[in-house]
Amino acid sequence: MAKVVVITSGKGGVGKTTSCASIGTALAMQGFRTVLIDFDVGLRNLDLVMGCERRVVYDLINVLSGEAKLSQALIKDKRLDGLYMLPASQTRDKDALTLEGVEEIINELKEDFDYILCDSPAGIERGALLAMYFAEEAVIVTNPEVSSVRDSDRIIGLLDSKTRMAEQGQAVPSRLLITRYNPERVEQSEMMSVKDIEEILAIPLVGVVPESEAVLKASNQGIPVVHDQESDAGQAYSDMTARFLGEERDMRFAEIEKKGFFSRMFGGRR
Amino acid sequence: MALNLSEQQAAFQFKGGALTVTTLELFTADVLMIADELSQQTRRAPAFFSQTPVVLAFDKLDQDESVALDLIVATCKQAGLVPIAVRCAQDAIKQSARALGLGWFPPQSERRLREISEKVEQQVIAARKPPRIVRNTVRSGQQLYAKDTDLVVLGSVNEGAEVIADGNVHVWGALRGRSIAGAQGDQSTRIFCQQFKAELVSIGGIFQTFESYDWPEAVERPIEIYLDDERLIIGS
Ligand SMILES: Nc1ncnc2c1ncn2[C@@H]1O[C@H](COP(=O)(O)OP(=O)(O)OP(=O)(O)O)[C@@H](O)[C@H]1O
Ligand SMILES: [Mg+2]
Repeated sequence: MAKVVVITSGKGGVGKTTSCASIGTALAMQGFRTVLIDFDVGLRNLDLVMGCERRVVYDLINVLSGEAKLSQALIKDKRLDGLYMLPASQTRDKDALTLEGVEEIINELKEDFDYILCDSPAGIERGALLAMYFAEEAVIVTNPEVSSVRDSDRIIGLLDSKTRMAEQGQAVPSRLLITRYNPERVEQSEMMSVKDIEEILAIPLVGVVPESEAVLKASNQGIPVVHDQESDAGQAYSDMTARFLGEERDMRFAEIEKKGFFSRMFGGRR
Repeated sequence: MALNLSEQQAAFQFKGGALTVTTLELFTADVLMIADELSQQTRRAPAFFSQTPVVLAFDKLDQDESVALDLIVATCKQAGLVPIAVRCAQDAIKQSARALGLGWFPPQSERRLREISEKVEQQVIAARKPPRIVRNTVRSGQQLYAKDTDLVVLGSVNEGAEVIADGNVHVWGALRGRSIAGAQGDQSTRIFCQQFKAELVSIGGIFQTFESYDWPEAVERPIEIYLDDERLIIGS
């Protein structure tokens, strides 16, 4: 039976969509049938990051309003078997998003998939609440800055109260994914450290993704960065997904690279 | 998110009951001074001031001091406070309040104050219930209230969260948000925490806001906050 996972953050632009695309891709690489749902109605960019924007014909809203069947709206990834996405609508209004409609779609997808990843819009309004409502697990995407941590804190509070699991008296297991991390800037106290963030949010850490140019390059090409295993961010998403699936891996990218460390120590000698 | 729109029968219901309302006790009628101080306070704890109802109390002013109530009310509103009533002996202020659509409370005489505090003490002793225990972190946007008793939070209270008790507040983690003890006026209550990084603390109605530079040097040690002669003491 499928597991519903919400990728959420509160604050906008922290890397939810980037993460959703890469985690979904990595899950599919492991052989899990995975579907990504873009809940960001009005903006729609998961399809861009996945590189399938040209093939969007029907979207979430079309399905919800009965204008298209779910199977017509699902887009199959061109690189991986077992990876699909359900795009959001760019133009239609958000009122068509109803709890019942979303539930129906998720139930139908559950028959066919192992993982359903919900890419939440920013904020704490309707779209974000709908994206999290059916979640059985959550990945909280946080940047190492005060406002992002605070918004994540807010979102974790909502996961504990505004979800179906919460209504049934259970907590949605939530894990912390720190993105756009830059250990050098942490060292200079320009950014919060992994430790500080973990201490405040008090949920288990599932990964640290470094600030990386590879991410921008990947989204411009429409290829989730996890395909680029040469890149630090790509490796970080592989590690993160492995940990998400229960594997133990060293937390790379959280410290300044050894090379940097040694060159700082001995750099002056040559 | 289910909407429970049960059918309404009566249009309304009057309910008596004690609400805790912040009183703005003015030591001056100088609007500029008030405005200055309010804007300082609001900058420190904007959330605390947003739409907070207040009673403007003039008991501490000289009887014949002239008061421009409309200006004071406007200043408060600008700071995000919502004046709902005045408390004064002066008839002139009472009349201005009526004109501005504000309620009026009689001044609190010393005797009445004593009565109240005795009553509070009795209530506190009679009504002490087992503490309310919260096992998780209290997060931004969440508010917890322990009525007639102590509140014990086994996790931290994060920035933007608010924990309130009629009795004492114990935070076993870090206090980063707001904490209010003695919400019904009991000034003998205390706040305890393992790490003090609070935005605001209040005991028995006496509150103080904090910036990071106000926090005690070694923030990583247990802290106890109490009132000494109506002054907040932050000790360890
Ligand atoms: N690790 C990273 N390194 C560098 N840039 C990144 C990283 N992660 C995300 N970005 C960039 O940050 C921007 C926002 O990312 P993304 O769209 O994934 O965020 P989001 O949380 O989904 O935003 P929104 O709230 O608008 O939906 C994009 O330009 C993306 O390329
Ligand atoms: Mg997004």
